[in-house]
Amino acid sequence: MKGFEKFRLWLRRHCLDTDVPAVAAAEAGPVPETAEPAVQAEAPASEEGAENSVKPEKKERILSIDRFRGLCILGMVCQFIMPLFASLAPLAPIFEHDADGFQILPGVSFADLFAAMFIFVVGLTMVRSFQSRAAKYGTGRAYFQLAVRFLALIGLGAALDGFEMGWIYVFTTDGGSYSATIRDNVKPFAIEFWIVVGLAVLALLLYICRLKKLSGYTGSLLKYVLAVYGVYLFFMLLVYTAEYIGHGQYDPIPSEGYMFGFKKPIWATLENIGLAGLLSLPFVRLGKWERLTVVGVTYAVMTVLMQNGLYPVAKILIEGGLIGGVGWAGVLLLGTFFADMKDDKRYWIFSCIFLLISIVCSVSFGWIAAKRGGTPVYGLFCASIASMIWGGLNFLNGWKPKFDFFAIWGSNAILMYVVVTFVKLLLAFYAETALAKMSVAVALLITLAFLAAFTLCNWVMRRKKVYIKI
Amino acid sequence: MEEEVVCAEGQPAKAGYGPAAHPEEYKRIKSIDRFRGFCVACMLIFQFMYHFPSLGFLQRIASHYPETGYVLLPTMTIADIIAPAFIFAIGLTFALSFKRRQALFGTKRAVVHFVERSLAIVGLGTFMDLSEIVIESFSDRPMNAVDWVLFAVSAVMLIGLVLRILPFGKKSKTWKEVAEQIFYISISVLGLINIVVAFVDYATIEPGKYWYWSVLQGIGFAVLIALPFVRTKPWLKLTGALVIGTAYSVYHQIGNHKELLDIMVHGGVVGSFGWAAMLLLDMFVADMYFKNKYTSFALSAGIAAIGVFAIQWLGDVNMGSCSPTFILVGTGLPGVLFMLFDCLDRFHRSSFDPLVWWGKNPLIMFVLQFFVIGIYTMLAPDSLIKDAPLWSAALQSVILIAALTLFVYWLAKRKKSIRL
Repeated sequence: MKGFEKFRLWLRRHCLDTDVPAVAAAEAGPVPETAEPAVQAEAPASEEGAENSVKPEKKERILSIDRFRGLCILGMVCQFIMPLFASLAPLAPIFEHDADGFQILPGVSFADLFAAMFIFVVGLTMVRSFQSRAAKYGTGRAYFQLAVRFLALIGLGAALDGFEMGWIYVFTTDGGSYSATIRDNVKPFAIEFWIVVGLAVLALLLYICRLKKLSGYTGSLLKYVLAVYGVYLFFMLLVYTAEYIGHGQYDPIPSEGYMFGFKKPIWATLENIGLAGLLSLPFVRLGKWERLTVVGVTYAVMTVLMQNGLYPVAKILIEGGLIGGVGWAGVLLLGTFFADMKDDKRYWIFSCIFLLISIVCSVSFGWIAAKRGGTPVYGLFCASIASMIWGGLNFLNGWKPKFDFFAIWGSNAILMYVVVTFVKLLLAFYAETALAKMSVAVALLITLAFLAAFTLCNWVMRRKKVYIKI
Repeated sequence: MEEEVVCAEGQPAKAGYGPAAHPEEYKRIKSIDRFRGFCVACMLIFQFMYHFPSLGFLQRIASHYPETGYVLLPTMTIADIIAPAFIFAIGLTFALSFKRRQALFGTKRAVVHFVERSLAIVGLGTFMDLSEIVIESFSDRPMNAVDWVLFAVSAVMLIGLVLRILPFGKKSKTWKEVAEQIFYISISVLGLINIVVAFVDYATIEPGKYWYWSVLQGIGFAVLIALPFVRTKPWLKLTGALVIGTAYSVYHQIGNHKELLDIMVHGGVVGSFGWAAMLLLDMFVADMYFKNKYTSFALSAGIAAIGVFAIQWLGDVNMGSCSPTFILVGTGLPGVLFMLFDCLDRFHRSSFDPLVWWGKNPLIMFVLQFFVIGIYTMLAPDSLIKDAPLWSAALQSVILIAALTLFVYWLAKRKKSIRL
């Protein structure tokens, strides 16, 4: 009986809900004295009055943001490295984009999530970054600095593309040269690549020689050079998009520009991140509800347009070009919204509601969800997934291990992306055949070696508190 | 299941209890009542309007067919959300109601009461189906042995009901108690027989043979299945929901079980396990609601998202067979709808609260809809129903809404709750 009694007590304590909520008392009236109200009144939601005011500058990094950024970059890096090995082809559905990859939603693969999540992470820090700059330098300069930063990102992406679509062909073609081998629309950025490399090397050398002031000036010069090229590429994009829409509406869709002779501009992930930031910048001073309204209205309008002929235009360029940039800017603004909602009790309600809306739009209504095109349904879906992941990571902010793998990867994300892209390009062009022949074990070993090497570099930089930003 | 009976005369609240002492919780019960009232009103009003083709889009709202109704999700129309919403409303107050009765009368009596009540709901549905069969026996469908057995039990039930209603002088209290017992026992027996018959029917599959299963039977049996979990902690309710739901879903997906389940209304007696899983999930969400309503709202939206997401792999949302995606969507979407009611609650200031009145007596309204409205639409000439012009259909609908609202207002004013 003793054992049974113990079991009965355990059952009662762990399995039976013996609380009598106060709501039961409120409705019934005559309730025995022993009934205790268990439901507490909800605390009212906090006021938003101080939303736009400058918050005190917080110097410490938020671990969840670094870890999330690291997770995204790691995913993107794996997408670059692992497809080089033919023996890892069974894993291809994890790394393929669009319809070729493992479908999460119709038209959205698992690999499509990472770029959007990375832009979401950019949004998590954008408002804070703006506010701290505005507090230091004033609003106008804060806008200018962030605009330069995003334009520099575009320029950086252009420089990488200048190498990938320009110099690689020169190096691998017999008798290849700048004039003969590189296409006209790539040439300016092929030049930019060497300017950027030169300035970066110079800045590094000056830093090593402890000429920190000169190194700083060189770094700033590098940033403005990148920004100028970013402006140029942005202009090309604007003109090309306008001509494409203008001429493509009635004619068979052309692949060449008309008025300025701009051919299809180079465009990839970094440019896309920069454009998303630029398009979001005007709204950074708004309150979170205003930003959410902007996203809602924009997404509604873009969805109607995408469903009625705009999508084929958007998907001509990678990530949707200028048109897709609106969708990506929405993801970034949603990131700013969730950053402001971090400690709000309604955080998870919005996450789940956005997830529900995006899934219903895709699965039930059949609206287009595609990374290539940057459609609103895709943007909303990725933002909701990202908000859930970040929400989960926030619970782990108190856990600070000595070796924080994802935080290490997240501390110099852009640098890591650039270096890995560069290494991948070199491997793809010079060692493609050899890599394709390698066995699974060797392929995995090489991949792990790469990841270990990058992890070590990140760890050293983080340890020395070296954070390379544009 | 509704809240515990507050008798017609009412009871003064003790100090420390009641709306003044717990305004937040009282407001929550109001929003639950409004939600329940909304479900009942939609069920009755749009079911009535369904008979009038001239009403156009209003007529289509009540359609359960994707071809004619308004599609919310693949093979799920707006009308399909009402029954799960009603189950959600039951789930919101089931545990509360049980705990209240347990506090007043003890656990054993509370369990007996709710078993009896669940069977009574099944029995009421059986009685309604039997009424249709009796009417049809005058035309082309003769009554079989099962029909006659149920007829006999129903007769005893009606005798008990009549004895309960009629006064018997000084001995009326004893007679009333005896009459109540006759009524409850016979209606519970009716329900029990229905459940057994439905299981036998399902085992010996014969399409078109199933007459004894509809909405009330489904609700009653689902409540019976969920009853063992009513006292448990939320995690155990969730576990129960997952276990029952998964087992049912596996059964649903293999072979031709989906088609078999689709023959009977809402999946029949076996489909009630799916409804029970839904009810358990609703009870879990309800527990979360009373602990932290924001968590419950997020949960509802999340469950709905998972349900819609799973359509890609588990198939369409099908109320007819209570498909796995229907279980999830039927839990989540009503929760999101309830969230809207809860959020809008703060804007409601006046005492004019028709939805609350509608929500106080759902069972009597359901019976009213079946007998009064059902008989009216059956006996009225085509010129008044099927061929009625728009003005006539609209007028009849307005009269119905007004009459029913007045009726529920009268019941609420008198603090009368007619429940099983």
